[in-house]
Amino acid sequence: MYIIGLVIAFCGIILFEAPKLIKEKMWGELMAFSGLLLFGMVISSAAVLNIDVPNPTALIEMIFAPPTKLLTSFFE
Amino acid sequence: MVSKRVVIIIALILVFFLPGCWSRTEVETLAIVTNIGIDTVEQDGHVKFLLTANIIRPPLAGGGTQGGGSGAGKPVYWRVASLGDTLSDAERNLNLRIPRRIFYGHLRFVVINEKVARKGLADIIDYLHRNMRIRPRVLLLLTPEKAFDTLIRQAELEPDLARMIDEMDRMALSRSSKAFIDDLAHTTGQLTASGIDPLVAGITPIESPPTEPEGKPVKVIRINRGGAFRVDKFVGWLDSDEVRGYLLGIGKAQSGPFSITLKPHSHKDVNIMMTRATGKIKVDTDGDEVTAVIEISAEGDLSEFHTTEEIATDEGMKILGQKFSDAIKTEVMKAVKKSKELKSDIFGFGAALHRDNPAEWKRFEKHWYEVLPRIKVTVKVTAYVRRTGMTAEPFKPE
Amino acid sequence: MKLIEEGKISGSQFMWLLVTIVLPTAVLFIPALTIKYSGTSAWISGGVFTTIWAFIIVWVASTLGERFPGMTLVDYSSLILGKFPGKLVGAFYIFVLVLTVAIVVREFGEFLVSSFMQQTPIFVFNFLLIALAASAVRNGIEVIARMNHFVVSLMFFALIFIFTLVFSEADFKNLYPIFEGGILPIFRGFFTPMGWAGELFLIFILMPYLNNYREAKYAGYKAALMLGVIMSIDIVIALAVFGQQAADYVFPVHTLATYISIAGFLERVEAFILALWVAGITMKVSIWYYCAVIVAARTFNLQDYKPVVLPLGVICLTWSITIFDNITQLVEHFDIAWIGFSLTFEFIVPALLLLIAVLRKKRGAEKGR
Repeated sequence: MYIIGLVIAFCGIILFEAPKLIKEKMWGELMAFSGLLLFGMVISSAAVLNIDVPNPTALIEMIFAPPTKLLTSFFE
Repeated sequence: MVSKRVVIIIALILVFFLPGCWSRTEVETLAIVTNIGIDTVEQDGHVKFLLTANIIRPPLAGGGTQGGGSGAGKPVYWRVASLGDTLSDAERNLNLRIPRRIFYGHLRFVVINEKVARKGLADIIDYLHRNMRIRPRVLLLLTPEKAFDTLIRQAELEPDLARMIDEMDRMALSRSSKAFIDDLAHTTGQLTASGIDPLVAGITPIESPPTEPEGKPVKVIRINRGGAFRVDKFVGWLDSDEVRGYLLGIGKAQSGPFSITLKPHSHKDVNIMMTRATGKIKVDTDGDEVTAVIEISAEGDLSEFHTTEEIATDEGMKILGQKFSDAIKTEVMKAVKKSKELKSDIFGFGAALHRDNPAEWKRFEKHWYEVLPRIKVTVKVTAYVRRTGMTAEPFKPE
Repeated sequence: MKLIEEGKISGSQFMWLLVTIVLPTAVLFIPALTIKYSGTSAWISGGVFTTIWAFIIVWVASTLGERFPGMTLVDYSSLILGKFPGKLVGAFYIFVLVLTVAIVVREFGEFLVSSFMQQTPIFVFNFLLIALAASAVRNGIEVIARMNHFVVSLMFFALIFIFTLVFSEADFKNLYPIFEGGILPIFRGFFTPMGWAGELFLIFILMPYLNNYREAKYAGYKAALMLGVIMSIDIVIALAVFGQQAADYVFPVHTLATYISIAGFLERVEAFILALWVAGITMKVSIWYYCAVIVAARTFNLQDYKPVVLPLGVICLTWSITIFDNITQLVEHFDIAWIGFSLTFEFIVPALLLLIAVLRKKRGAEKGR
């Protein structure tokens, strides 16, 4: 159900930006636009379909939590 | 221009959202709760909460013209109650009986049964704080009877209990300082802080003689005491004089009558009306001894004088001032004594020590409630009588 | 060296932007997080220490910016580190900024849902906020700066309003004892607000849009000082009114607002304050979002930054919903991992860039403007 809304939203975004970029032959912009949008599509559809994708905060927590905990433990 | 067209279309769509909001709740669908009472009930071996709510009675349908003195005089509040395993459960169970959404936004006070308070206040405080509609200014009261029964007592002069308690809270300190209704935020603060315990206003249910010609006796309430806590458990009552002693000690008392004895009589013959007071607590340690000094300064006016000797002299005022400060001292000492007896640090001696001398506090913190009864408390009062009211010398019948 | 966007802002606009970068969420979350660790000395860690830290951040970021006048972050990091590592720095900052936008949006949503509209899904708030911010970003920095000038004054008004009205309830005895437990808890309490004060590092991304880049440092110091004063007052008032218990509230300032009652009729003002608050957080998100878009555009070598606005918005929106499962996770994240992470992108990376630039004697050409 939500996925339909998502598809409509993405169609809207593409229709809003892409035609102008193609008309003015801004290929670099089009590349960046489609790359980022593709990424957005992947993570948002994954979220809607309840698929687990790596979470950026989980990544940060993995890298930074141990040293931070070590640092803060000196001050408690 | 594409963008202009888009804007117009969006604007037109938005028009549909203007007439209302998504999650609106009309006032006709709300049951506005003005006060709640909390009891516990044992049922099938389980302890359950009994939540009693006073709800503002909606105007009766097709009520016709208002005013003209609706002789029936139906009270504007309506009492309902329900059981639940937790307070939230009980709250929602109310909706099994009443057709409107329980709305706490106008909650004015919470009455808690004494026995529930003896078991601990923390659970109740947690429920009240977590709810986003309940404000930190909600007043807390203790009642010796079932809160369920308290909430059906008659409100006097005000249309409902909530208004009545609210107004009494507003004038308690400025009229007599013999009662003090504290709010949720302060009580929670005192519960969670170490070295200070809360004092929650207490209700005395009374049956008053008829209040109108040919009326029946009415069941009303009186707020004339304070329930002292140890940590979060209710341990005992302070009477109204002790409450004033407590208020003087912590510097919250404002005004109030002090009846004192000038000559050796069996009755009190002078009254001094306190007009302002301040109080400060200092705690110090000496080895294993803890000493506390309560400094109070007060001012008052002469408001009643039952003997006939000359009083409107500088000397006379000094004597009165002395008597006045003695009276204050006695009252504060009474409250201190009660606090020690109950092992309830309502004055916050521990917190005062913590403030002034954190290192020493660390030493006593663990066994503070054993130290508390041993604290040597001195009360220093400087009190003045400033004015004599509208007459100088007492009238002498001759 | 093309700037992608031709907008220019003045020194005072820049300063207010910096204030908005930090203030709206800091005021909501910091008091509880600091008081939790530092207790009665929280105002020292949350006010004094953070101000000093903010000064350091401002110095690093603006010194770096001044070395390369008129150049954007990606341009000069390419100059300092070489082309590919420079792009890598850019990519890192896209990630950082997008993630921060997502977190700020989440904070905003959590605040609204838990204290005002429990029934509404958080998606609605997050979506509306991102949509609004996206429109602001597409309009460019000048529009954001002007709008911000207006909103920031409303925000200050709201804060002063809360603080003065609740002042009569304050009991300053609650502020004693100071320095209980020595200096360590004060430092511990300082780590969390450090991430907030450090947000001023955005100076080095926004600097190229300043009329006169020499004003940046001064404006940064002024903003840091202002933030320090506000945060100190914020923490002191929260402590004085509620005592240590303030640490148990999720949003002490909101509870302060609900506590206001003047003479029995000036009550229930928190909805009014909320309205101003929403405006403030919208500005905060817009600025961060704008920085993310600008860095992205420079990293991908674009002529126009507008095409990346919406895709980044989609990512922010998705992340704002998926990154945390619940509000405690958010608070805990700030409490632990965020400290190290924010230290990295706010201080270590800029400082390293500056250090390498000095060592390799790189500096941008002074352009006669």
